[in-house]
Amino acid sequence: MYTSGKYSSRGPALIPRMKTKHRIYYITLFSVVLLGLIATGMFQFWPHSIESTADWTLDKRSVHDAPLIRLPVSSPIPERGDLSCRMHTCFDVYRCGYNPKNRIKVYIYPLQRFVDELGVPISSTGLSREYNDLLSAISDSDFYTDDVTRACLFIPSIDVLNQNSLRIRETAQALAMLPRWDKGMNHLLFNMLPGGPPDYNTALDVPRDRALLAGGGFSTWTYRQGYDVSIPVYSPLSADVDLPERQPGASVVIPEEKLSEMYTILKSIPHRQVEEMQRQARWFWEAYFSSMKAIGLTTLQIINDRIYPYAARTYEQWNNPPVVKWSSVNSPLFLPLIPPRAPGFTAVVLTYDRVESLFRVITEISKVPSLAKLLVVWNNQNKSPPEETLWPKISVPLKVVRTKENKLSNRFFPYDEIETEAVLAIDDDIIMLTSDELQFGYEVWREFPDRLVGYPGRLHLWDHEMGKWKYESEWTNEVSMVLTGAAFYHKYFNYLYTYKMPGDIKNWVDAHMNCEDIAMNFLVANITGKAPIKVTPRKKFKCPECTAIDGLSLDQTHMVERSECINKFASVFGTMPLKVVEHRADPVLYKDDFPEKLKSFPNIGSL
Amino acid sequence: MQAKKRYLILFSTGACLILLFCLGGIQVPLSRRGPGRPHDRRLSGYGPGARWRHLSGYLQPFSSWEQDRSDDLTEHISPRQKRDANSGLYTGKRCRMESCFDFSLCERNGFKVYVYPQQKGEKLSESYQNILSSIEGSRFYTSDPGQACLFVLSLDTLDRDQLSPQYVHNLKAKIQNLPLWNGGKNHIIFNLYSGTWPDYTEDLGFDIGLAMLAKASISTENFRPDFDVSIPLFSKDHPRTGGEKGYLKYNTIPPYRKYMLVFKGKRYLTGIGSDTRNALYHIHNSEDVVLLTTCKHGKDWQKHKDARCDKDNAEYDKYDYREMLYNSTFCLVPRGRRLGSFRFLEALQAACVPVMLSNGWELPFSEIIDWNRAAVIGDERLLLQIPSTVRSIHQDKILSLRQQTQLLWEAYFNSVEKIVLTTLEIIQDRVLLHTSRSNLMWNSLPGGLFTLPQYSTSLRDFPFYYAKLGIKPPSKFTAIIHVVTPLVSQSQPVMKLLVAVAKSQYCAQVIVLWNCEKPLPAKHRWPATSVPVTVIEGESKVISSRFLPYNTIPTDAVFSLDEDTVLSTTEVDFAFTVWQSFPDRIVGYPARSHFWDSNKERWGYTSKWTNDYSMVLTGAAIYHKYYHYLYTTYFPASLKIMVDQMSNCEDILMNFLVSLVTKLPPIKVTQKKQYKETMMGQSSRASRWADPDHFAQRQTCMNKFANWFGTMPLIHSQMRLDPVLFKDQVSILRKKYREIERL
Repeated sequence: MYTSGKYSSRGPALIPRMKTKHRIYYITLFSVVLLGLIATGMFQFWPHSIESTADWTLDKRSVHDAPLIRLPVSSPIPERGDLSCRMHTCFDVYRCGYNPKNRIKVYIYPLQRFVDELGVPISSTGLSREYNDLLSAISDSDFYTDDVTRACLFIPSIDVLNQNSLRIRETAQALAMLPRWDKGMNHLLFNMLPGGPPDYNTALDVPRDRALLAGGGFSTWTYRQGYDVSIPVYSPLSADVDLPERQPGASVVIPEEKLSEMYTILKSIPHRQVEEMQRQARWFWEAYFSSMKAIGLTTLQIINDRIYPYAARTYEQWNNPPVVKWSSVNSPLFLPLIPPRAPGFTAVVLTYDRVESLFRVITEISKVPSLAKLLVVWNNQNKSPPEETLWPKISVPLKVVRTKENKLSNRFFPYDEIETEAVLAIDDDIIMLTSDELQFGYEVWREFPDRLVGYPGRLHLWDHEMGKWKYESEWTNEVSMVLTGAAFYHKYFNYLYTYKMPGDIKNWVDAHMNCEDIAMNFLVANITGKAPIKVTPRKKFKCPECTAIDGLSLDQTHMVERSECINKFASVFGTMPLKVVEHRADPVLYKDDFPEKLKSFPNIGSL
Repeated sequence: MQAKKRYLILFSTGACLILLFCLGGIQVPLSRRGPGRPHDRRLSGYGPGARWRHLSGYLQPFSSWEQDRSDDLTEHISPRQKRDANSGLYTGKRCRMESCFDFSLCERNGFKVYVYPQQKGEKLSESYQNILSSIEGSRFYTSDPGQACLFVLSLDTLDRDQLSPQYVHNLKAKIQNLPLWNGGKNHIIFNLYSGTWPDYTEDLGFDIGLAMLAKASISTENFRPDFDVSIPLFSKDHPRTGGEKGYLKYNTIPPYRKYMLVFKGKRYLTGIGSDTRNALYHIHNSEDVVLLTTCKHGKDWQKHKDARCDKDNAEYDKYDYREMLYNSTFCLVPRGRRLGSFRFLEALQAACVPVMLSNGWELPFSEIIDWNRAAVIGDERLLLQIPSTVRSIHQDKILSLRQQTQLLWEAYFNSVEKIVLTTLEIIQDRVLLHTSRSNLMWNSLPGGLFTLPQYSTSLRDFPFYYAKLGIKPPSKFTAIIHVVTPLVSQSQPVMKLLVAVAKSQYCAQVIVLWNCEKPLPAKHRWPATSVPVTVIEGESKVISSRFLPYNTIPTDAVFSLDEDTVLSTTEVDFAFTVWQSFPDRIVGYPARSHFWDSNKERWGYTSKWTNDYSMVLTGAAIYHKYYHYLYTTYFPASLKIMVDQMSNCEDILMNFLVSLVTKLPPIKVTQKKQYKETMMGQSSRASRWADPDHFAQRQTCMNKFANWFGTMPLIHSQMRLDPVLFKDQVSILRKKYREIERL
């Protein structure tokens, strides 16, 4: 009784006196039962939570409930992998066919458990965690189809990631039993640990007919160029990456023979480059190899690129981290061409109803030798353009385009009537530009066909007090924009302005009836990374009798609005693409002490 | 006690049973309710809707790392050891650089190429002759086999078609007799044609041993990756150097041409390679898809002629090949008897985007060229889809494909020399693995032949990729003043120049290159400046030493100056800001021009005042330091020696080089009058400009260089860059670069 009293003073009274180890056993058992009952109760009285966890329990069950397939001993074995396989010999492209999205469809076989006749599984691990992750990622991706008849690529759910956990012959038999196997045609296997001791072959030893292999650790002898896909060996513990494709940007490859020189070689790499490589390697890792998902989807993208090569991702898309994409430019007109003078340029004059001024502009421009055609964009819907007979008689074709709405963006539409590369956008009141100035502008444009080449220059400035951008039209030493009231540019930018202008900039411009020129400067600078070129000295471009220096621009509210435009556009572009320069282009002999009549462009800067 | 225990066990077992039942009871109805998928049935069968489903229960990892590691300890052998163990296995058809190439030959002297001396009575085809002279004229050439890393036969292996008149007999014996053959190790064999009718195999008819193949029309099956080089098929008229430019003159918008897709060529009625061409008529629509074939070739074509031949032949004669080539957006390049055809290079030059239909062809220089950027790689099996495929290509993509054809044509294909140099550079990249070019260097301007990885493998160190990398050009320069006269007075022009340049806010360092016969002056004789001044003695005092890529140049920008140049700090500052906008060009002050003298049928040089210019003198110019390296490395010794002996024309050669690389003119910036007068009036005592022969020499240089380049790379410009407010009617106080306007 004495001992019992001692116990009861320590433990709960309802627990009978017994040997310590029994007591602990019972306590544990009892609490398990109790917890179980509570849990059951919760399930019973909280039906909604049951619904939401249903899938999980289901899936858990189905690993074991996957149908059991018994492989007969005599079941056929596929042939060993064919080293001569290439996409055009061993891959059935008809299954992929023409596809407007240029995307392959991938089917994943449902899970089965294969055992031999004695009931022994073909793999010691069965479906591994990694392979499950991989297949899950693929089935969640756009590549996935559950319709076996539409599939172009088939992925068995037989896990062959690690050859060492496989029974090779039986695994091969299992593959051959897949209903669409067809000599492994269009089947993709993933393997990370090929061959075991003593040979350590560099590719999976499982006979697999023509199946494609995405493998880690290929040697150049087992890798079928353009057919297999080289992938890294994934380990959640390790950050080491076996770079699958040759990537000089992120790794140093040293042949085994030169192992002894490795230190010298590595030392010789400049520090700047080591940093670049580290950054690049890190990005590769994160983008393509950091998870089974990344590895799986990268593999499919590589195969997709082979099947639809004309829609393939470019080297930059594969290799440039988003941060580089952000600041780098890939100019659409990247070839250094100086187009011949002969085709000339098309002048596009935007006009509303200033007919007299328009006619003067037309007469002036028609004197420029390289003018090929004149296009008048008649932006007034309420009034018809003057009769044909009233227009100035000029030696080049003159076309009038009537617009449906009075919008500023009409001046940048890529009209079919513009048959030259070079476009001269000009306002209907710019009458002071001389023929020499215009011809010279065209010559400069030929040297810089990917830039805006214009006459009045403008600048954007950072207003430190207000903490925002400001528009500047004063006499400055710098230029970051040229006004499109008189500017040459490539017709491509018309197309770009009309169809590729980011955000709501186009609507903003049309709604405010202002800033179309600033928008164009942003667009060109953003895609080319280059500044515009201002040509010839500053002067009055409009009629001398007008009071304004140039443009509508003196009006104060107008200026405020243009500053607003710069801020608005910078936020839409997400950056300030405009580039500031301190130079302008003049003829080689401009202002030189040299007989004027021997100069190509003597009449520059005159009023 | 026992009873209690039993009771408790009973109780707990009961509880467990209830628990299990409850859990099971929830599961069973649930799985029946399900989300309406009859998956149980599908699991067992593979109906069209059978799907793979996520599993998220506990699964084992695919590998236990501990176990692998212990395996490695006991069993690890390196692939190299393994290869050595079965040496002989990875030879012949399985050759790789590691197994068939002796890297050690390249270690001592770098990548040098030896060409066997031509044997008497051995006839070489014109094409092979061109290949050999391209190598001999290159910087890789060595006449000493002991220094060589790579060997090239002087036996013509280009045409191995037994029926061809160019076919060289007994090649096998001739090669085996070569004392340096060494089983073909470190040899490269050029070949354009192999095999003959009817099966056109890729066998050369002799044992190439361990030699590498640079071969046209090679198939992926026979191509040994990282060992062979696939070269383009070129005609015997292909120019040796220089080469024609691409035909693209305009980037018209929209980019579509008159035809969408064209082809004009032979149709093989039977035999290898006939299938695709025989099927072309299916997609021919005689409007924008014009695919024409003729049966009329060979002696007995009438014998094999089929029902379509007459109609096809008639249609074929209606169209002009050139007209189609220049006016089509895409050009079909179907395989011929062999995989490659002349159509490929023709289309490339014509900026007609090639649509490849040649399954299994390892495309030319596939190791380095990303063909998806310049061609559409079709599949012969999907011929019928080709029209819809090319029509689906977006116009932006067409614009880019088209420009890329031109880039590649001019970078690697337009002359035999380029094809040969590209082949050699590819092999060099393999040999010097850690200094090899990146994909971007090969596939963007100015191309791999002008981007030497021995200078740097980092894109940032070259003048070509600032925009691509999204980085700004360098903000500092190093001035290099070339001095040839002794220091006698403190008022010498070089003193003023040094002070003016050093005062520039962009100047990082001044290097005085002492190319004067007199010994170096004492340090204190140089004026004190805020930036460091280094004096280095020119190597052998030759003029080319001004373009050596000195390690002491700390910046990427170089301001090259003659000692008698007169410049103000303002002028220096302004020129440098201009250069930052054009970091790949030469930006300078005095300019010169070239012209074609049609009377004398040669190039003329002029220093007169002209309305255009094509050169900027490097006596006062800014350019990227990389051009120093390129000048020193790219040209063969003979050309540099010529310049050194004359002590003249080094600036012309530099202008040739930079324009060849950029395909753009240099940039002239404005200058004060007085400077021009010094240069023009040739008043300086030391000036080599005073020499009357000087000018005539420069004329000769122009023609010699143009001859060596095989082309005239210089390009004219009609503009000069001035400060924005230059000579404008506004207060001089508002002008930043007002000094330039003052006389």
